[in-house]
Parts: sequence; C-alpha cells; structure tokens
Amino acid sequence: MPRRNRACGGGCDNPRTVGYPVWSMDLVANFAPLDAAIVVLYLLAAVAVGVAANRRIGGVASYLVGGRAAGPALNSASYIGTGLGLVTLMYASIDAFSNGFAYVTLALISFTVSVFLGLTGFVIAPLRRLELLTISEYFEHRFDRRTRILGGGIGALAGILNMGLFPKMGATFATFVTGASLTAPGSDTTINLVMSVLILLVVAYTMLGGMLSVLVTDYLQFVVLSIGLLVGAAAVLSHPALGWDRIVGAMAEHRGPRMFSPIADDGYGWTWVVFNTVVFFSAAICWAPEASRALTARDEKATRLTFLLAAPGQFVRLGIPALFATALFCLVTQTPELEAHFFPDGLAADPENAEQAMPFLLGRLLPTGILGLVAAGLLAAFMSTHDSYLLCWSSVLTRDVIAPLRGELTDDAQIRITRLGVLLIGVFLLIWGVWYELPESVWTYMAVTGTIYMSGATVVLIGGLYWRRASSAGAFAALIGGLTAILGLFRDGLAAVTGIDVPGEVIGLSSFFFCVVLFVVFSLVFPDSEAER
Amino acid sequence: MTTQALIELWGWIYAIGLGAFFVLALFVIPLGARDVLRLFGPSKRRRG
Repeated sequence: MPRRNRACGGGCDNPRTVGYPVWSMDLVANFAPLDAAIVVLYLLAAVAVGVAANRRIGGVASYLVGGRAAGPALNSASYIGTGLGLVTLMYASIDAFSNGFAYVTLALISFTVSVFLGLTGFVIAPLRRLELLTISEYFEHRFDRRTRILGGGIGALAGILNMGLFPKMGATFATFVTGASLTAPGSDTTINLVMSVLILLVVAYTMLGGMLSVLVTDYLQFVVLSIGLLVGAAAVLSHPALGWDRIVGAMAEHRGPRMFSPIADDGYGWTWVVFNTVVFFSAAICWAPEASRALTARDEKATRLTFLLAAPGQFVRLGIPALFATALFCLVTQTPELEAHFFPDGLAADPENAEQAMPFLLGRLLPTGILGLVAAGLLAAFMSTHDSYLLCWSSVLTRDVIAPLRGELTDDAQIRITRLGVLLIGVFLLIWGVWYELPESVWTYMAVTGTIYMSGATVVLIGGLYWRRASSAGAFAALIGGLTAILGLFRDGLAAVTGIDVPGEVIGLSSFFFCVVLFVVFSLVFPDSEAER
Repeated sequence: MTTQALIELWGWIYAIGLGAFFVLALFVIPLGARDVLRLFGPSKRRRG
C-alpha cells in the first residue's frame, strides 16, 4: 500500500530532505472522501442552477445572452470564468513546464489587451450598442446575409475543432489530481469515463438554462477557483522545498535564460510574440465564447468595465498554472525518480508527460479539504468553458447559419434548435475525445484552429466598424482567406512533402496578413453600391 | 537584460498580478452575488 504524503502537503521541515521517496511517483494523491464530497456537491449545484435558470427563460434573448442584464461584476466574473478553463490551466502548465516564465509573456499580453479594450471600448462598445445576439449578426448588419452565413459557419467549424481536445485534457487532469490513474485498471478507461460523465452534466445544464445558467455557473466557478488558485499559489510560494527563489533558481540553473525571456536564444522568438498578441486581441473581440460577454452586459459602460475588471484574471489564468509547472520542475531537480519520469533525457531537454505536471503537483502538495476545493474549482473550470463554448457555437449555428437559410424562426424554434445543437456538439466531443491524441503544444493547436475563424472575422469586424469603404466582397474574401490557417493542422504532412517545417505561428500570422490583403483589395475593386451601404 | 534582472522583473510582475487579482476577487465576489440575485429576482422573467 503506497504511503500518503500528507506530511509533505502540510510542509516539509528541511528542504534538503525533500526528494525521493517523499515525492515519489508511487505515492497516491491527498485526494480523500472529503474532497470527493466537495466535488460532488459542486457538480450537483451546477445542474441545479441549470434547472432553476430554465424556469427564467422567457425568449431567445434571455436564452442566448441572459436578457442582456448582467452587471459588470457578474459579467467580468463570467468572462474570467470562461477564459479560466481547466483546458487553459492545463495548456499553460504544459507549455510553462518546457518554457518557464517566458510562456507567461502571454499572460502579460492578455492583461494588456483586456485593459486596452476596457479603456477605449474599441470594437466592443459599438457591438454592444447594436444589441446583437451573436457577433456574426454584425456581418449581415454591415455587409450582407451571405457574409453572415459564411462567418457563422466558419466560426462554428473553428470553434468546435478548437474544443476537440478539451475533454481529454480535462479528464487527464481529473484522474491525475485524484490519483485515480494509479489505482484504476487502465488509465485510458478512467479518463474516458470521467470525460463522459462531465460532458453529460455540462450538456444537461446548458441545454436547460442557456446563458443564465452559464453566467451563474461561471460566477460560482470564479468564486471557488479564485480562492483555490490563490491558496495553491500561496502553498507553492511558502513550501519549504519550493518558494520563489528556489523555483527561479532551478529554472535558471538547469534550463537557462530562455526560461525568462521569449526572445532569448533558442526561445519562442518575436514571431510567436506578435502572433499571440494578434490572437489574444482577436479572441477578445470576435471569438464567440469570450466576445459574447460584450453582448451580455446590461449597457455599454458595463461592457467596458467588464473587460477592465477582467484584466487581472487574464494574467492569473496563465500565470498561476505556469507557477505550478515551474514549481514541479523545482521538485524534479530534487527528486531522481521524478526526473526519470518527466525528464528522461536530462533536465535541459524537452520534458515528457508534461500534461501530468500541474495535477501531479496539486494532488500531492495541497492538503485534504483545500485539494477538494481546488479540484471542484478546476472541474468547474472544465465545465464552464464547455458550457460557454457549447452555447455560443450552437447559437451561432442556429442564428447565423440555419435561421438565415430557412427564413425567420420563432423564438421557441431557435431555442429548440440551439438545445439540439448543444446536444450534438456534446456527442461529437465524446466521440472525438476518445481517439484524439494531445499534440505537443496544445496552445499552438488551439491558436491555429482559432485562427481559421479569427483571422478573417477580426479583419471584417474592424474594417466594417472603422473603414467606410469596406465592402461585402472584401468581407466575404477575407473570411474565405482565413481558411488558409487550416494548413497549420497539417504541418507534419507539409514538412514531409516540402522538406520545410513552417512553425504554426508563422502560418497563423500569414493567414491574418493574407486576410487583410484580401479584404482591402476586394473592397477597393468590388465596392458596395450606394444602395447596399 | 541579464537573467538576474529578468528574474527580478518576473518577481514584480507576479507580485502585482496576484495582488491585483486578490483585490479584484474581494470586490467581484460580493458584487457578483448581488448581480446574480438581481438576475433571479421575482420580477425578472425576461422576454426576447
């Protein structure tokens, strides 16, 4: 029977003694029945919210954007909740385990983008004034119906592809944080079971409660997770074997300056910084699950305040999981067995099993009770990202593709079709999640799939709002141009054929540039008539 | 910048980032609860 490491969870007396066997791979996590009870209670509460919200739904605006009634505090909590998904935490910890604090540059970019939008109201304020239900609606408002249908269709395709790896990452977290992976007959079976149960729960309450339940469950998640993450960060920084100086010291000693600067030699490079700045900016203004928070706020002032208030959350959602990953690296340097598991080729080489880093650390560092709180918060994060994505992409399909093609639909019909869409996307996720293998850089996969839609939509949105000569032909061409980002998903095949390995961020950035060129050229060559304007 | 200077910079960034989030949570948790109660208030059944 493996020994539990609760003693170390509460703090080890002498950092020099910390190492094998205290941080052994054989040890089970601190996850106890109390933690399980906290998690189950939370999951039941989320479903209850869906049932309660279902009674409040009085029309399609109430189902899709919560009746545009959210105050800035609730709206910003929900905005942070959507971004602070378990998937976000997992991919941040995976990348930071390899690249250290250089990865946290993304947190700074995200923070800056949120402050900029909140202060200026750029794009988000005019969108809120138009009282839209989806971002693609703007494409018809400013251009024409076919642009809306194309934008909605590409957005839903990119969004659903983007979601494809969410379930597996979430379930991997759940099984490692609870230690279930060490006791179950096959960890794959456990992961698939956990994934299926969680997705079914999310689908159930999202179908029932729509945006009202999304807002409230996001809020609950914000409460639980903000406490849990701050406690987790405090535990890492105050642990005798860890602490800030030890963590940064281990990174500097074994992996060098590129752990602290994205533009250091052998680091990410400037292209990565520029591409991610563009991606974060685009996501905030046109990626439906995030940008829809501009539409759910009760007025324009609340919209701007939402983005301003959410800025620290944008930092924390990447900064804290990166801290957890770098903390585990610090422990790895002190523990031969952990080094053999995570860095079999040496501490300076690329890690293996990086997706296990954060759940492994949390499951063994946090004491019972706090671990339950954090696990519930993180599972809530898993669910809240899914609920926002399910609802937003299903509503985009309903309102921006099906309704324009079939003619006007009644409110009840739109709600019915949106609910059916939520169910179908949930089924797709279950099937996709079973066989999909996690890519090496999850973040790059997500950025590239998102770019399929965001590259065209961002150009069309900004051009439509701020350039008088923007035309329907330019908008249509730019949206089509964004499809070039799909090439990023076939990098390996392209490299085999051409012998050139083009980084994902180069493909992504090229797509954005290509869309700008198409938009400007087609708008100038094929302007809208005065009547169309 | 030297590695030591970068480490110091990241230390400040984390101190400010975590501190700002802590303050944000102190405000958003109670005010968000008020917003939730308003959403589910007795006369809040909405029409589309």
